[in-house]
Amino acid sequence: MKKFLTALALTFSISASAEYIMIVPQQPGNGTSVWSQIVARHLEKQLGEPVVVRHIPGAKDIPGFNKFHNDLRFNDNIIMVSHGGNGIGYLVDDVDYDYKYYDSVGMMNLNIVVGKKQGVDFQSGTKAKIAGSSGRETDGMAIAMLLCGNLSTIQEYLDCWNDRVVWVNGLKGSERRLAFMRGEFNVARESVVSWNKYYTDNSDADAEIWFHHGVYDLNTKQQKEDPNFPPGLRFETVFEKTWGEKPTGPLYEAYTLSRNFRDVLQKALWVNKGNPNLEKLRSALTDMITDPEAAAALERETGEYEWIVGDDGNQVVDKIRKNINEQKLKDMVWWHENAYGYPSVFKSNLLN
Amino acid sequence: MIEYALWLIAGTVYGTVIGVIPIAGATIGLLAVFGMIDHFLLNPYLGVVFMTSFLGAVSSSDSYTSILTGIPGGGSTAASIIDGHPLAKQGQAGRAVGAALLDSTVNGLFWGTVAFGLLPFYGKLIMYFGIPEFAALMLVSVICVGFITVKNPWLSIISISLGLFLGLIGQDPGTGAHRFTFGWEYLAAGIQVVPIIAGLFAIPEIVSCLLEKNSRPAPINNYWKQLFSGFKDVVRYRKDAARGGIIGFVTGVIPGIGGSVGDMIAYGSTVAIHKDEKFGQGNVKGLIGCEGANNAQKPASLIPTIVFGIPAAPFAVIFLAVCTTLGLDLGTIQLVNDSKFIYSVTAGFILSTIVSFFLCIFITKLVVKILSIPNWIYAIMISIIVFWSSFQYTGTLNDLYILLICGVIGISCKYSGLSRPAVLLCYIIAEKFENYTQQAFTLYSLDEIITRPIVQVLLVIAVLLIFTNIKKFIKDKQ
Repeated sequence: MKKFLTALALTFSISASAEYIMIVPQQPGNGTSVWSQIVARHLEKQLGEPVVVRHIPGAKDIPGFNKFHNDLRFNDNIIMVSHGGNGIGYLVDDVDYDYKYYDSVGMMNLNIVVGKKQGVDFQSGTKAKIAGSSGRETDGMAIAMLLCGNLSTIQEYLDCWNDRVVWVNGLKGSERRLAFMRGEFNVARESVVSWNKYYTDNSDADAEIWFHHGVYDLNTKQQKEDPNFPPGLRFETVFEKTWGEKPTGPLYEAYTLSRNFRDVLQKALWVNKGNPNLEKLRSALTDMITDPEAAAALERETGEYEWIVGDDGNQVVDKIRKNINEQKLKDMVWWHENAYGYPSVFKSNLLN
Repeated sequence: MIEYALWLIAGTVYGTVIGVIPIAGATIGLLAVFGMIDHFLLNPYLGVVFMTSFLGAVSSSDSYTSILTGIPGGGSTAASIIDGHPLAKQGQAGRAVGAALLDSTVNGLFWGTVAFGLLPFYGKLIMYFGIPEFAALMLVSVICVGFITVKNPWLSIISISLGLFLGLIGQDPGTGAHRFTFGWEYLAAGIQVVPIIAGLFAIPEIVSCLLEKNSRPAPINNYWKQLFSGFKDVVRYRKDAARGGIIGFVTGVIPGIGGSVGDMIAYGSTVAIHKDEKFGQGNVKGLIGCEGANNAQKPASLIPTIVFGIPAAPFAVIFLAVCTTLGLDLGTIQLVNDSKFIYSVTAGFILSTIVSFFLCIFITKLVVKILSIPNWIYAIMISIIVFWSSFQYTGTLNDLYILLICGVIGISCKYSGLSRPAVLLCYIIAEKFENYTQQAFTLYSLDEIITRPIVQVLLVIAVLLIFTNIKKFIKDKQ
């Protein structure tokens, strides 16, 4: 009864005139919410039918996606919007949602920049001080490897991490930037657009790019350079420059798993498998991407990144899901719990 | 530009109407913004203009209800009743309205300019506040709110504890683990600000509204002549008007003190200055002495809200929450230096104060009719705003369950003497206080924290606040 009334209330609230409803698992105003509003506005033009955004926020942005999985996906007019944090949650949190049950309408692989105070030399022993939170775990792994080099066990990485890194939880984006400007942190992490907005050409910030994570190459199925940056700043390249060898070892394996689920699925649109509107939505999205006005609006929000539309999206998801293996997943879960203190669960059902 | 003007007019009209409705006021009126948040997502500055124009207008029009019916239009106009309503009953309602309107407008314009025009200057303060300073500032705010709004220290402690407990429900900021959720997954994201405010403030007032008898508004005779007579009173007693504004501004900046407290202090100081005169029987100086405090308090309360992200009054809690939802992070150097934000805040408040002045002059007779409407109709209108706003979070019945729980808490607070502003502000501060404290101790040692000069000053203030309030309580008991 409760479930029925809840569904009834939701349906009522999202307005009878709405043709398509994009479910966003966040509060209005957050990054994915703003991105969704832009996509909805332009997708609506291509579809010729109304597209509205509905927020279902909750802890770690999980309840909204769970609700889509358990109830809403069976409605053919519902489109789920997910972000990179949901990708991490899929791997380490107790969630109901599972990408294998959905078809990808389209997705954007966005990059993340990690910067540092100008001239700081972490190789000389300076501690890295960084604001941490859910969704930044991948960056923490990369920082641990850059500070510690290739080590043989995950425990060795943890010992090095505890010695070399101060990870401070609970700061909002604006608070983190302020603390970085005041010098309380010496490492910053941002989306590309935020980096350009707050750090590039800002002498008060006194920041330089340390590394970024690169973007997924659909052809090679590997990470590649990000066209938004000069070459040589991708994590693997910076690591090799710092340590004279390629990154390897258990933390690197866990990092690649984490990076794929966070960055490749950074912004994604899903419908239930078998949804009869799938092709219509994919076609409208393809038209939207080629519309200069829509492309410009999205570029202002995200930077210049490509879309993956159609079956390619499903193949990418299959590929990164196949990349999950027991050791990588166990190491990732262990690292989340021990390095960051985040409660995490190992889910054997994710193994192929 | 047209869009800004339309939202400014909408905010002004809405603020004028809400100000007139008995028991509504700025806090309850602002709740409705959550119901229209989608309109502001793509241009958050429109939301800022709407909110500040609402605040400018509501601060002027809320005098009507106090003067004409003897019921406060909002909590911050209670003092206006003492001399304003007797004046109206003596057939001088037009004079009282004129004095209140001009006093409100002049103080609103002057203090609005001081508060918002100097925001970039206050913003420079932020760079002196590191994480330990913010933690200490939160501590002072909690003590300030808890110990000054309630005289009994036991009630203060209970109010503070209740507010902090409500604010800590959700997730541990360090680990993300759930706490105090009692197995209800909905609570894992914490209790949202709308049901808390609606429960603490709106629902108890709706109940009161239904229980109280209707009060017929005083008739207005010879309106225009009386109105200008009221204007002349403000010019004649300009020192009283200015004093009220100064008191309203100073009390507005301090968390928890603004609103009715600032109004009452302003009224008390007017009475103290004019020792030989009778008050409470229709002395226009009494009305002028307190009426402008409310208008100075609104922009003043937004200063700590915008500069530090610490709301100084219940309405500022909603302002903070809406801005956060719209992606405008209060308490950051970027926002204080954002000229578009500063213009939106300033233009919204200042222009609406002017527009509202003229609007109010011409709608006074209509207001008398509005105030004749039975209380239960107001109760229904406010209930619709409250339920609609609360339902915007997830759109599920959980939103309504939590609203009802918060309503029970609000009614209990009202009738047990607990400070509802203290509960609300501690609820808001709880998460920040915890975060900043944890962060300070992660980044610095205890020695490093307590040797910072600003931290030392703030800790001394905190100790003095506790000590003086306990001492006063013991003295009052004796």
